[in-house]
Amino acid sequence: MNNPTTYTSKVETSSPLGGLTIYSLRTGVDNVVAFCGSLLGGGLFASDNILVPEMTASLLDLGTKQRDKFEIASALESVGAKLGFSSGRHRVHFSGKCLKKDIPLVIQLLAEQLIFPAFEEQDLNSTIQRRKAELKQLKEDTRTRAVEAFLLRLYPEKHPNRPKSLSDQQKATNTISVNQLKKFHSDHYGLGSLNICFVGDVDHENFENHTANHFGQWQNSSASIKESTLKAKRLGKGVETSEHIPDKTSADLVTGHGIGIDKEHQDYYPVMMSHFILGGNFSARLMATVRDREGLTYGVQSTTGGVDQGNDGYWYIWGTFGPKDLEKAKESINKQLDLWYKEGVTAEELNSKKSTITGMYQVGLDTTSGLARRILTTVERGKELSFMDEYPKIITAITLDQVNKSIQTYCDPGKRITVVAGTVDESN
Amino acid sequence: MTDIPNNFIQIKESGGIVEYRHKTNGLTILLLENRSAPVVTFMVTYRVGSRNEAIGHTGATHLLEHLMFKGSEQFNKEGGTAIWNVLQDVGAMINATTWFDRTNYFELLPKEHLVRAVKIEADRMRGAFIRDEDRQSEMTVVRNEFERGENDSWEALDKNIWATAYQAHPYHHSTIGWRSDIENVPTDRLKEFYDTFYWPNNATVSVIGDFEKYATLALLDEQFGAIEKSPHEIPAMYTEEPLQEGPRRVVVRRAGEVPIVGIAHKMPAGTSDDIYAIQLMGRILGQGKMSRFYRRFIDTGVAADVSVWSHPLHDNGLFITYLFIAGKETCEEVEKGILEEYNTILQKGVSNEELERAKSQISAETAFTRDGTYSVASNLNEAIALGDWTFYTTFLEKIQNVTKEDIQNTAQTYLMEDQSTTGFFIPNAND
Repeated sequence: MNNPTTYTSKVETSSPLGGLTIYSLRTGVDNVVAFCGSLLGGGLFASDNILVPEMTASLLDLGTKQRDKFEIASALESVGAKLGFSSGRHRVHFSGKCLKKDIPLVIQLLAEQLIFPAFEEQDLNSTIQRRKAELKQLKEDTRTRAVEAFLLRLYPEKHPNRPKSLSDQQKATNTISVNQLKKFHSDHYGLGSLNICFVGDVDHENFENHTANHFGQWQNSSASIKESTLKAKRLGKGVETSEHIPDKTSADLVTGHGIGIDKEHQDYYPVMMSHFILGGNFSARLMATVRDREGLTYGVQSTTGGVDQGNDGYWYIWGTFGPKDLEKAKESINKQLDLWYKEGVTAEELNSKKSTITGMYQVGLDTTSGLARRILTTVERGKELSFMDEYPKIITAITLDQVNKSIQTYCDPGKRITVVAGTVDESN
Repeated sequence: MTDIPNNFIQIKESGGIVEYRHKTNGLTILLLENRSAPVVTFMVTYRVGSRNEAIGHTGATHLLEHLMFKGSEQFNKEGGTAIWNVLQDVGAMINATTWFDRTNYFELLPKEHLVRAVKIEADRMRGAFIRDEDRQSEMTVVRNEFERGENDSWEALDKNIWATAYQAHPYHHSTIGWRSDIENVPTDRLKEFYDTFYWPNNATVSVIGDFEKYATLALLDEQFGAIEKSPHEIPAMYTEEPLQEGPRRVVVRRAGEVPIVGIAHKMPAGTSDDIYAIQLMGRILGQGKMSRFYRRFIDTGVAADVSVWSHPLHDNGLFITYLFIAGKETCEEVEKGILEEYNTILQKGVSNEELERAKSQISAETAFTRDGTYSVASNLNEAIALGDWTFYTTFLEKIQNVTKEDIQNTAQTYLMEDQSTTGFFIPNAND
């Protein structure tokens, strides 16, 4: 097997400005550069209105103090370049793709949009109008509603893993103003936590020069992540609830509970592996039984979530089921969960999934965008780039004893929160 | 190995992709070497899709695709060699998809495991079990896939638009099929479907990525070479859609939150010379912030989203605009606005600036499609489906030759009211 280590060790890194780090990796693709990056200023930095961080990011590509949104769009679209922004929990993200020759233009526009957004009133109004429609659509999305209800029950107010409810977001659309966006941008955006990764047909020195030139006048930001001391609710016994949405032919089920640790905890990878064996892919236990053997679902999986930046995360099983099969599916999932909990996993399963995960790592090298995201998530996590080389070794080193102990320590099937979302009132 | 194995002949080369044909069984091979990463994508495309189905067995192609994972002579659960396990054990991304004109099975995997994918695909080409007990358990899986799709307002409208636009041609029904057909199609019918279409002379194998050409051809000969060509001619789908003689309308009402408008017009087959002007027209109308629809509907807050769908198909497909209403406008008002934009192109054509911008977008995106072996395979798959794999490699050149006049002429030919099907999704008031 080719060693991916030799690939990722080719990443070049430099800091052309204080608070800006750039990473680049040359791959075999010709003429194409994929890029992505981020800075602090995501949803958790909201203060007076929960939608301000998201709207701030949404308006970044709708004009700057130098040119209107159509001049920017024309400049990018005329060369076929892609550049988009989004708001995450901690960070504002951007990503795109362009031809090698267009990198100077793209970096210039990226800097201009991040540093000098126009925040026009009419653009905010039309964006809010669209967001209202999107929120309405999400209210009838069975998966969104199941996950939302699960996390709202699991996490207390102000916990980083507690989502903004769709209803609260709808209310917030009525009170948001341009001045709030301008203040948020001024308070949080700036150099300090800015990382940009370029992968493909790259020239690192070229990136250094252009980023230093265009980001040089930006202010520093003191934004930092404040780790929360709040913890997930611990239940004495399991609870089950439903979210009724009319006229839905398939229901979504989410079931799980908190694990109390984050990704950096020494037990995290055994926990992750235990859930990969239970429901990480098609050949895992849940798909092999609930779908492949019993035909009760199109998809069912088990995984962990909310484990970033010191947060106590959770595990959950998610699946979709027709009304006729819902009760049978719950029984089948419970049976697999009990078996996994009481008897643990086998050495054969562990070895198989180790091979799967390390192989997936190699397959992830297939695209420049995938590689760029891998570099970015590594540095966002505060890891050295060498972590990318170490990851397959970490997976390979997990022992059977660690996995089976982690199941007993971090999972209790009797204390789950279970949510079913769909047209469930009549059928249950 | 330093030369083409004797059992293959080279047919042609385009855009770096070389086509070979197996001399005895007619299997088509497409090879593209790309050593950007130590991975390879292996894909078998069968030239059969839901256009080859009829009443009573709609969705059969797709259900059969599911059964193809249930086991074959050498790869099966009973022998501890289930397909998913053998491939996922080495980290492979594996799946299959079915659409109107084709069914494809693919594996993106570390290059040293290519042989696993080749052996599995060769084995299940003629050795799949297609057992009744497997159909019974998989039918409910597919039914849940259908149910998940029906949860979506847009998908419900889209199915209705296609079903209204086509009366005779099998594009009338969606690839997932009608629910009662999914539930009741007999296993024998699926087996008959398999025995009719799953043969080397109705398949194209694509290998893209880090591999050695001649050694791979030898491997393909070793694994696929012994499979005989079909003992019958692969049956042609001969149903043509009669000329549409007036506009059609359809309304879908159910619980929901956001009204949707869809306006579809018949367009030519994917191999038509007009298809390139249609692609550019679709971009000028609906792609990016400079597009006409963005300025009219998104920038003003009328629409949450608007898109133009004009995917080239084997037979006459549809050119469809979909708009999700965000504001207070009615479906009728939005419909009028979309048609006004069509009419402007019919009357005045497009500008030089619009045309050049759309060409530049396609030029860059064509380069982007070469980023990643799976991306190339996916694009190649759709070109195979419409009947000419070089559609993928020659697309950009053909696009560059389109003129403003071509676009206006094309609009005048295809965006005719009599050829239209308009659909509204109207949400019922919630309980």
